[in-house]
Amino acid sequence: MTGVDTSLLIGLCLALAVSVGDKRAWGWLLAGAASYTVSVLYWRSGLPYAPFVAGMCDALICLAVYFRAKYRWEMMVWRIFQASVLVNIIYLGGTLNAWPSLSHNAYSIILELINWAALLWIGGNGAFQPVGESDASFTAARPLRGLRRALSALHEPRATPAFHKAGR
Amino acid sequence: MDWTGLLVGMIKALGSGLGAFLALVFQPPPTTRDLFIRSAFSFASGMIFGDPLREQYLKWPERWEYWLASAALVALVSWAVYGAAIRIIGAYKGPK
Repeated sequence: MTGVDTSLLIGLCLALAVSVGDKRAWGWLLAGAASYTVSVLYWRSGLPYAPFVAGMCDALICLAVYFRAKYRWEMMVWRIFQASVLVNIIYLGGTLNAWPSLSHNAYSIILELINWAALLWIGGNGAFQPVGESDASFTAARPLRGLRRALSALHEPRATPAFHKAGR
Repeated sequence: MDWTGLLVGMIKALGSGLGAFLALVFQPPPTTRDLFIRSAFSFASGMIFGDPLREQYLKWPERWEYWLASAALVALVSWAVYGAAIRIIGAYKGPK
């Protein structure tokens, strides 16, 4: 396990800890962790076309989010994983000389940033749940309640569910 | 039996399917009916136009990775083109 893996694992544990009770946040966090684990294990086993496998793992999460998401904040998770799929496709095309190649360092850094963005976004939104449910006399949560009110639109149901015109 | 031709066809089919799958990830259609039509359209486009694109325009070499990639690229683009065409046709009201 490298330092990057360890720091991501710590970030995952923190995100899981702050979003206890929010099953949706836990689901997306664990799905992301599973995708990362499969991608990294495949990459380190030395098998070919690792970016393709990483992209497919993220694509599966994208579809899962699109079909299972209920709230607006979850649609941002969909966008974050879409970005990850796109980066993997761009890197894969570069390794096949289909277009100018992206350096491996740039690829890794961008993917790390995307992973951290996903952790912060899902963990942050998962942490909103207990803040909103805390007792009014719990004064320490007062500034957080204001923040929650400001961002409450993110916790409303998503504007258009998957295949919203399916009945037509 | 031409096993090479069959294998090439299977690779192209796989590429077209992958292209349609990726297109679904980036641009999900609004209805299930649209999903089936777009998938069929993208798949057919990838199978038909993947090779011409690779040979004539992109000049990619004759290897299975490039057969797959060109079919996927065509399927991906045709998904978006089909969606845009449907929106344009849907927006046209006709003469009053």
